[in-house]
Amino acid sequence: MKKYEMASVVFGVKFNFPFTEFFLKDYEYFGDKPCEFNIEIAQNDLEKERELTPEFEDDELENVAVFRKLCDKLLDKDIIMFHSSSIELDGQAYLFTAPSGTGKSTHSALWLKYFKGRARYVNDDKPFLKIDEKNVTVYGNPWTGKHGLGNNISANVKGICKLSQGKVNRIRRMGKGEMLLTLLDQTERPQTIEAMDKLLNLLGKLVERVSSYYLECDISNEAVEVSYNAMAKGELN
Amino acid sequence: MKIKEGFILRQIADSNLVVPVGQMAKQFNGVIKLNESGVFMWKKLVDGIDLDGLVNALTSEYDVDEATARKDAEAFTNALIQAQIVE
Repeated sequence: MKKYEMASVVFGVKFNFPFTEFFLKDYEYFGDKPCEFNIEIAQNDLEKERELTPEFEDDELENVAVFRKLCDKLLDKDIIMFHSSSIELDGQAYLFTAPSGTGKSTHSALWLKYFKGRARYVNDDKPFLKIDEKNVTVYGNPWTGKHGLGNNISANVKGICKLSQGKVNRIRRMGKGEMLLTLLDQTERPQTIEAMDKLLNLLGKLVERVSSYYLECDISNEAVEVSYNAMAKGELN
Repeated sequence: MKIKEGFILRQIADSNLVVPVGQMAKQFNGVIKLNESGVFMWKKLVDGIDLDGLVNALTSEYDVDEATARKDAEAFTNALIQAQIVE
């Protein structure tokens, strides 16, 4: 059993494969705080994952099983996974979400290039969001997507933006109801009624606390300027 | 007609949402957003009701004539039948 810290939560993981240890290494915790929970993967957890992704080797199955169990446990701590590319700029975080293949990572990459040295990835694929009474904070974790882009950092979430491909660059505010549907679409849905209620309750708080936007964009500096001006400065075109 | 087991209706941030849970979440991976009369009809269908019963419930709850109520009830239940949410 090794100790890890993600989203300010310390927990233990008992793993069977070296891949899991390697994968989690940047988040290992060496402090004195006790574990809030432990994650242990049994053979039947691997079999459940194998049904979903039969092409995976056992060590990859263990990795996704750890992530699934972690998401379940973190829900109790008011933390959710939100499928998005998240970046930090000047101390604030901006999250881009869209169905896979739309280009959220591409848009994030444009931000990093445009704000050279000022911006960095929190997590390019599956960051954790902690929703507390006043703020929403995004945290890095090792599940950073196929390009492996992410850092063990956190930042206050300033805006969430849903992307679609377009011929012009334009942005508008999204309503709370519209945002709620987007969030439900891009998060891991729990199985039990209790956990689903908890998730819905957290998403309800999230849409009250964070501004959300809908961006149509191409791949250009102008796309960055349009999304940055709206989300960071409140200027809608 | 009756809504199948495994759906919960919740009001979140002024939206009325129906989400599947448990086994149902594996078959139906969507979310249903309901307006006020949709919530009314959904609740009737959770208890189980036939089309005529639903039309009657609508005309007594809302200021609406029977033809309009029937049209709405049919559209609503047809959508649920199509999505295999009612049995």
